[in-house]
Amino acid sequence: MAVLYLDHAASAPADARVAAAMAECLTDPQSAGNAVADHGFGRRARERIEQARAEVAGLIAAPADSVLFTSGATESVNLALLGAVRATTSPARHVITSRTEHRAGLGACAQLEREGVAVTYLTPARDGRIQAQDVLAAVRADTVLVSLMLVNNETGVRQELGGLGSELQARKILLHLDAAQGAGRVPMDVTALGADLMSLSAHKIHGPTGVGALYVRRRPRPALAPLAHGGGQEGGLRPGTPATHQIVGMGRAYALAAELFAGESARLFELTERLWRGIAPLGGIHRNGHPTQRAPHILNVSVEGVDGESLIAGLDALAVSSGAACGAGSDQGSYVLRAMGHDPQLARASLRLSLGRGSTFEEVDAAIGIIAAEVRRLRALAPRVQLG
Amino acid sequence: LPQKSAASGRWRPGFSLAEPLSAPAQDLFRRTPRAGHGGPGWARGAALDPLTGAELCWHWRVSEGTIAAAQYAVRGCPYLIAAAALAAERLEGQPAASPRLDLAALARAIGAPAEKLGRLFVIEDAMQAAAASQRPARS
Repeated sequence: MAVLYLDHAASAPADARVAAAMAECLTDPQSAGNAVADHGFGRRARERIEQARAEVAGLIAAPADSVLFTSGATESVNLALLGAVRATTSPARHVITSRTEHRAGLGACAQLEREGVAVTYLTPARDGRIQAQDVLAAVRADTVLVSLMLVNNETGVRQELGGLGSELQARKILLHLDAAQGAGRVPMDVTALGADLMSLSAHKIHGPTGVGALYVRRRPRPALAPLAHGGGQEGGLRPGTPATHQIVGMGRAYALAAELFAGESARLFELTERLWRGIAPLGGIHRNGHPTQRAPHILNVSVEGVDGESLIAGLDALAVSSGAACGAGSDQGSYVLRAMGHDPQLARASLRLSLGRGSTFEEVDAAIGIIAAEVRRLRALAPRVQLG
Repeated sequence: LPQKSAASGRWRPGFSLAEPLSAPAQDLFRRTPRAGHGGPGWARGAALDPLTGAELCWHWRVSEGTIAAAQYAVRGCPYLIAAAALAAERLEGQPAASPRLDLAALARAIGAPAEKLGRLFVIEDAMQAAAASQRPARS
């Protein structure tokens, strides 16, 4: 049985052009050197890395030397949060984040709490948005960092930060944005956003897994304590031999994302709207998150009258993520949707449908048919009188 | 196995991200034999698990004190649905006022993981409710 892949927010299959660039790098004997070596082989590898750095920086309108490569967005988020807070000398330290962050951010905050750092977790509005004034209201005298997702990985909600960055800069508070889901999907200009730090992923936009990047503002440059120690690569913040072919792949993915941005964003927005229009007539379908202030590739819905696990099991012709799966091992459902104030049963019966470069109108129409059939089957199976 | 799209030439993963069900559970979940809402005069008993929202309603056609046909309406996880289908088969022929089900045996038969056993309690609770309706009322 062919399975339709609607889980690009989890990982978007590498673009063939990305794979070709990586293969070419891996098989080019002239690039086989360690990028820190002084000979020609090292220089060639270094040139490839610097080109990729410029390509990544280009997508977020940043100077190339403000981007450092990591193993992925999770490492970037950890380096940003742990690195920035550990680099401060003040004994009292406070961080502001939200309850709907990716587990990478929540995990890093939990570690900071174990290290004695106070953390405020903001609750978003029912549509998933965090208001800038709520962030500012949570600021304390000892606040050193605010960390927010630019685009939520479950709902696709895009945070409108307004002048938050400049307000925080005026207070000498760092702003970290987790843009793993936002890069290549929504317009991004780090200066306009006022970000001091920004975490990026490659495989969310058709690049390879195993590589990511962290933007670190050039001036004023935030102090960061490295998570690992050894070599002086990546400004001493990420020691270790750079994975040249992975970095080349990320660079190519970002260059393609920049090149295709306008057309791809509009097409994905249209596709997710088509998906919504196709399943909404089933009735009892709730769209989760702000309907327009969102990344174009994600649609998150909750389905009334069905169990989340059964829904996902019944949709085995689709590769999707579910609120039930997100809470694997618990009956609580998606913590993101619950934080947004949604009913726990609906949080469990939620689907994240995320599209990508290869998604087509035909696939979307097929997915609508599959979802409709399964929802009708499960609802027909249920008791006709609501108990409890 | 991965599939190559004829249209785009791109490879797509040939697997679902959903947690795989055991083969017997998958079969029963898909076919749901004996699912139904009963008919006029059928005995009925229902139960709800408020924690998970799972609910199950038994519908029995009772003939001379015996469950002649058992149907179920259910909302819950795939293992609950599969177990209800198997339980319906096992209930047929049993005395309607005092039927017995071995939930652990049901769970084993459908290959349900141990942590799912608690999800199956509504089968028993609903059975007891239906059975109670078949016992003479005490004055």
